[in-house]
Amino acid sequence: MFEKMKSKLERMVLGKKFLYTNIIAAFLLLQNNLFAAEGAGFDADTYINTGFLIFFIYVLVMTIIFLIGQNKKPEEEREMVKKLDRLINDAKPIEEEQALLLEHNYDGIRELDNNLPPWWKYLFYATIVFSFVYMGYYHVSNGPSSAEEYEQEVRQAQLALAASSGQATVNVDNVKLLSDAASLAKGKDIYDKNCASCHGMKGEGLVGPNLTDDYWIHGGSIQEIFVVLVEGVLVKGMPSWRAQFSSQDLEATASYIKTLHGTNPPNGKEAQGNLYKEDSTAKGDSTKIEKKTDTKK
Amino acid sequence: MQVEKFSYDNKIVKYFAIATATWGIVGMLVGLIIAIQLYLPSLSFNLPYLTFGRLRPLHTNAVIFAFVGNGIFMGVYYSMQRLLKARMYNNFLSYLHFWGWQLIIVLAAVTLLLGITTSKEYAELEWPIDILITLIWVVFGINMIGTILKRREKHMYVAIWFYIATFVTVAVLHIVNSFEIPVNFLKSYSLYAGVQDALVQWWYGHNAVAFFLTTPYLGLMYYFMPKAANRPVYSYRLSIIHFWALIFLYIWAGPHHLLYSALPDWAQSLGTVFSIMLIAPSWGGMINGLLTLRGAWDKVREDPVLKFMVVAVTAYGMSTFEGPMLSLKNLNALAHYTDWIIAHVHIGALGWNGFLTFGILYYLIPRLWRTELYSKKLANYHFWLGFLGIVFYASSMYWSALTQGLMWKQFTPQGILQYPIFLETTIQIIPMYIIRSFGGLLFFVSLFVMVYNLYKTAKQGSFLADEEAEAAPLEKTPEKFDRKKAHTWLESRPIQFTVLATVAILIGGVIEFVPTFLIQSNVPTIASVKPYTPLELEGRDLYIREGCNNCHSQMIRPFRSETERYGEYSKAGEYVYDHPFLWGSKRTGPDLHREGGKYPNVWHYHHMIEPTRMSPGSIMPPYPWLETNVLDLSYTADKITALRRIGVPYPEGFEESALQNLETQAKEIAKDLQKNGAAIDHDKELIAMIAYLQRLGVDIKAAPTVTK
Repeated sequence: MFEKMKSKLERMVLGKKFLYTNIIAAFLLLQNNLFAAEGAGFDADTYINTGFLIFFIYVLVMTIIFLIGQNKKPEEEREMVKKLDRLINDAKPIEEEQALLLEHNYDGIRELDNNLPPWWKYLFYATIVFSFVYMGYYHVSNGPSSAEEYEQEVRQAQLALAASSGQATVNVDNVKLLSDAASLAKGKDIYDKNCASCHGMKGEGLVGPNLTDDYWIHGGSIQEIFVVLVEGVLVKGMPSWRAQFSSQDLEATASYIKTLHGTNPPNGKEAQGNLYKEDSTAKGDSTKIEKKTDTKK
Repeated sequence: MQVEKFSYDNKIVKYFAIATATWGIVGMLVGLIIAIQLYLPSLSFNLPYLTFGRLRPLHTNAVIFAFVGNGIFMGVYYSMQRLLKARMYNNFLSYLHFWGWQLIIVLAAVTLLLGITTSKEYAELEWPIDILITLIWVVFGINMIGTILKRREKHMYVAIWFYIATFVTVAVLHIVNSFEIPVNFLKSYSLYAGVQDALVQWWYGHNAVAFFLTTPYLGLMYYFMPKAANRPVYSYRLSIIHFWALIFLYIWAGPHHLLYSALPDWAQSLGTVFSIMLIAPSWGGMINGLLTLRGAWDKVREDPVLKFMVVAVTAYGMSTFEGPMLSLKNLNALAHYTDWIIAHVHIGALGWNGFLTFGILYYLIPRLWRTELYSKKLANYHFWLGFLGIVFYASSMYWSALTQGLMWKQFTPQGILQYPIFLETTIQIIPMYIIRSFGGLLFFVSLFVMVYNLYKTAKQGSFLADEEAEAAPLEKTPEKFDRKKAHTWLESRPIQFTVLATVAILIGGVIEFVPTFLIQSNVPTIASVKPYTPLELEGRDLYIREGCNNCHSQMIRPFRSETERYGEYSKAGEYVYDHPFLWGSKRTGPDLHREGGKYPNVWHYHHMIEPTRMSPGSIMPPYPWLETNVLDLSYTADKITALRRIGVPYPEGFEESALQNLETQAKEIAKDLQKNGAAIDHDKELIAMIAYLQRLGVDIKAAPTVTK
């Protein structure tokens, strides 16, 4: 029993062929996600796990080959390769190939007329069948178009978001000025990587306005700054960061920006916008802001 | 039967061999430079001629058309004479072909460095050079078919079939993809626009791989491998089936370069399934090569020629499996735009084309100079250096691709991009870029080992320019048709054979092109999409000149990870006035299709002059000359006229007011820049570039039909 299995295994993995067996196994493993590129919860982990699985199988197979190969003598090995050749490739042994030799002689090159290797032939058939199934699925039966795949992906993301909204999102009505060190550090990190290229490392203003003085183009309250971060001011080149950062992150960033006020860094850009005083935060302000964002849309 | 005496022309083979080695060194040197530029952008020395965007096309063209091209001709001229028992048809044509081809290469190098380019990948050369290529290719064809017709061997060997298919298909590909309307001697616009241009281009691009890098090399393999191993070819039957299947199926697979793009879904699916069906025909060539070595594996251990060839054929098998896998939607979604594709093509170029060329050179040079190889040991060093080079190259690129590809797609549990800053993902893979260039360096160094070895070999031998041969002339009695031997019958009829091969390679292209061009619904129009203003058009031509499309795509795929990062995904109707299309194929930098309005003008001003000012750590080279160069307006009116003639709806007479229109828009931008502290005159190139960038992808936002 064991001997039989072993010889079967040998047939499967030996010679040049073990590589293909491996590759085909890897290919099959990748197929678990064939009909959705990203949608259905694309997950880096799946790819990484699949990759690891492939690698693991590869190591396993290589080990087996090594163990089998180790106690074989060269002649035995040659004999086995021959057997394999006949079984897998349906090839005539070299000793009998004279019978297959065609009469042509091209500059000394002769041609044998071996049968098509069966595995090759069936692989070809299989890919043809695959093609019909594939075209049938996407273009005859109602497989999703690229656009539909996308719509589904967006829907799923919205559902997932709704489900996880136990975590309250920050919006213009409940945004607060945070002062804890962790939030401010987070805000500073985001600011340095994303905002500093236009507003300066210290908020002194470069392409974008100075964030340390008393003058604000779109208002200097925490709500107003938060809205600018979320919505952007596209006409003036301030991007919207809604897609890139969570509302909590933007709240932290807005809070950090507030800490820059009055630091008076060197090379500060001249003031732009209207004078803003800290005490003027009132309900009225935030409603105004909401109006503003509405018209922008 | 009277035996005829004649001689083989070895001198032409020698010429092509020297050209192959020389251009190999040049092409790979440029490759090495651009590989280093990716982590050392200052290596462009602030010179327009040395930026990545201009050097990258030079690298690809030099490797494909100069190194591999000359390699093809070297092997074809050597093997064909011997397989057909005839000298090349005409000496003059042989040398016209040789010098013409070298002239094309030199012209290509000069124009590409000057930024004279059509931007279409592997077809960047401008129209006068395109015409020259066509002429020289026809010279090659006449010379080849002439030789076939005056052959002394009744039947054509499989290598010849591949040469014929190569000649016919490359001619068709090159001509169809190069239809363009000239503006002046050095500038033209592609006749096709947007989606159609993309389809034609990738039909060309993919089949340049198929019929320039694959079929001629399979032909060479079929000659040199059995010769070197002194073994009969494994299966004649397999040759026939995989030859016809390969050339028929290959031509359909182009759209797999455009998966999830704005190309109609049905065409994308055809690209996928035909790629999958290509696995077996491609492997047919590999197994026919490898199984030919049955009984000769002992020799492989000894003979450097066979060693190189075995690795080449194995690399061929690997890439022709990987290619179809990359054509599957799910893998393509991850791998497209990343370094995976770079790894994939280099397995092909370094492994398959490179190693097979080296094997052939090691086979040919001792024979041409009638001596032994100078040093087997050096050849072995070359082998291992080159092999290690490929390993370093490929492994680093695969790792880089997985890393960056996954980072682009990763969302936080809150549904927000985990790595919203593109640059963050670039910086992550810089170590991989360094390892890659080390692999490239090994491969480059290995070339010199070969050149030295071959030089010494030639030095110790004596070259024979005309090798005497003799053979009986062809019998005039035609073979009777026998259904059981139909293919053998065909092999003695080169004209019928060529016609059949031509039909086989035309079918796929016709079926994909005709509906895309004729059926309206394949490119739905969007009313708000308007032609570019004259200033934007000039900016677009600068974008083409600087080769921005080599690093930046303009095609946002319908994935949340892309729409969240870049904005609404790209629609076919947005590109109807894009002659040529500029979708790009690699994102070394971010996609730019929705760049318009994302940043203020002054951001672009600083970013173009010194990218790190706006994006610290950026690997984009600086473009300071855009700030000082005055925009050339001498052809603006001609450009408008040319574009109108190929269907862009500029009103009649618009070309006369074009310059005025241009100046008004330029002044507005300059005023805005000055207001924001950037002092620049309105007549500079940078203004046009900014105008173009700010226009990208904004038309659709005004469309009432498209809402978020």
